Amino acid sequence: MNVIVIGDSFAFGHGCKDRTYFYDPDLKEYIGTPDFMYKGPSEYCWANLLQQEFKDKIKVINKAFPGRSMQGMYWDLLKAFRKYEVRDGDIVIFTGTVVNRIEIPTIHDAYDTASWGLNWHTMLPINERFKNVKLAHMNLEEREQAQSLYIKYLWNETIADQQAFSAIMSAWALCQHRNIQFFWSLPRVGFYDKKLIGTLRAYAGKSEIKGLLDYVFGTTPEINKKYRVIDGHANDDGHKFFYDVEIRQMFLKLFEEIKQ
Amino acid sequence: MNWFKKIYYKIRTEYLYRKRIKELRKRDPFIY
Repeated sequence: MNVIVIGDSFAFGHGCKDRTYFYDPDLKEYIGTPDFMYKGPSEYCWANLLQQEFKDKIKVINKAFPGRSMQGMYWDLLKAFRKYEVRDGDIVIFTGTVVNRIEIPTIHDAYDTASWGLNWHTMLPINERFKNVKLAHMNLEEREQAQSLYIKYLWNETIADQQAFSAIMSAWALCQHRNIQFFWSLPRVGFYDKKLIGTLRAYAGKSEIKGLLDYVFGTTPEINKKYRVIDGHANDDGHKFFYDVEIRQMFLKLFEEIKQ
Repeated sequence: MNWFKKIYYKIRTEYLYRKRIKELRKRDPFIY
């Protein structure tokens, strides 16, 4: 049985000890290198813990990528369906992200796309973020101006909701059509329009799970501190904790249902 | 468009932009 994991940095394992990359405000520099994202998912992420425990029963395909938008995730799912032979009864775990991320051309290739969180360019000065990037073909400052103008004039909260909602609904519908079990989660911040989550639950409410982000940003400060790295991503313990309380239980239940 | 509406929309756009950036940072504090 195939288990396809779709998600962002929290499913990828950004923050685990083999995928460390964050900005240290005290040292005023990055720890780690940005090429961590091209090395594939972490060994300590929850998807890999799942694979390790149920090696003989399932094959986990982790297609998560740091910073992914919801539309990017839907695209990941389509690509995974094209690449791997999925059969009836296979499982998709779609761990959604915040809705304010969109797909834009990458800085390296105008015909390739990457996800952009609309606030990212405002968080750190440009020379900090692109310290080691040398580009002859692009004026990065101009690009950032365009990003700001996009938020100012061409974007609003309803558009973000529409894009994210259609992406997750499309993923759900595709899995329904192919007879694949679809599990999904969304961070607690969710959609801007709170009614949308109700609509989504009316269709796919039974297969909703709680995401890792909500565990790491949970209400108890002890949990938050213990399971987080400096930039807010989950560490190895966070992934282990999430796996134990959510994913493992879910799969044990699933296997029991299959047995009956 | 009269002068009042012109100024009103300009200020409103600027205000919404700043409000959005603040809200966005709260919603998505992760780079990548």
